[in-house]
Amino acid sequence: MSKTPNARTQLRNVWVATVDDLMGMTESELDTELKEMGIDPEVAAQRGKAAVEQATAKSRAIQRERKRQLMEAARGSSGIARDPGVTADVARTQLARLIAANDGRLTLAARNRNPGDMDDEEVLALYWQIQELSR
Amino acid sequence: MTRNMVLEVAAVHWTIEEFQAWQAEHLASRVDQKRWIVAAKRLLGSLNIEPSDLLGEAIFRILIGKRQLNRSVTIEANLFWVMKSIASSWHKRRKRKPEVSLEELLASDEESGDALEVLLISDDGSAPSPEDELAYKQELDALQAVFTDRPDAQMVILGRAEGLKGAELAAFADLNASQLATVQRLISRRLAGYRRDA
Repeated sequence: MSKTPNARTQLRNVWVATVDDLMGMTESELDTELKEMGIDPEVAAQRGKAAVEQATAKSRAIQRERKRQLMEAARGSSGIARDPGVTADVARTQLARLIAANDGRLTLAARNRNPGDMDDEEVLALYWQIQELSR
Repeated sequence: MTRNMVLEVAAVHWTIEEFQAWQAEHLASRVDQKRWIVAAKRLLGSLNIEPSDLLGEAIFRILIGKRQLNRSVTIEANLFWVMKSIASSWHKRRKRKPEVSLEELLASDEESGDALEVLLISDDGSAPSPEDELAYKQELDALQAVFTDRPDAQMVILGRAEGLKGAELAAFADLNASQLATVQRLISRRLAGYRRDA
């Protein structure tokens, strides 16, 4: 056997294997366990589907509201001269660097975004909002 | 300047968009929906909460960016651990205040974020501090203690900790393939119900 990994890696290995077991369960095994838990497998599937849909809808509403607030804040801020040379791609790269550096001016939600997936308007609004915060 | 460059810089966590793509592919089938309900029920144990509430809450917290997903493990492992962390906070709250209402419990928002959340914490390649390493070791011992009645399961956990799988793991634990599968099922169920504070 090769060198024993450190305890953090060992612990991680144990939990990853536990998740692998879950992912490897067949539908028949899942049905058996659900019945043992007193849950009808068909009801479980329906409730699982509904949970995913509701969580997605609820999060979309929050994302829309955050985006609206961001745009509003960007429109309202007038104290900084906006360099027209800052294109959406420039803003994306700068934001990616701030995210990689875990910059404190970014909210946790912003840190979990990939600027590459934001639209131009959103990425520029976030970029100029951070510039305002840096003043 | 390309978007690929941006992706390279921000590669410590799975992004929300990557989670959404995973979700569209891996949370859409009936069998996967059943799978995650089984996981949720295992984690909730005796707590009188619908497993679908735990699943929905975990997905919601990830989608609004409240939970970061560690890129060094799979999205599945991250989702499981987010659910485990939320369930653990609910168990703790119920233990502290048994009369807490279901609504209050579901809305509670305590996250430990401690070093033992090994699946959610990004591995930056640096060695853990001696204090953290000791805590990890103690946690491994606590996991082993869950199986004091099953030396075969303890051997499998020991082998898994070393990174062994399949035939290699079976040989290490001195089990045949069928015995190994049975022991792995037992481990999977018991560990989902394991809580440090229990």
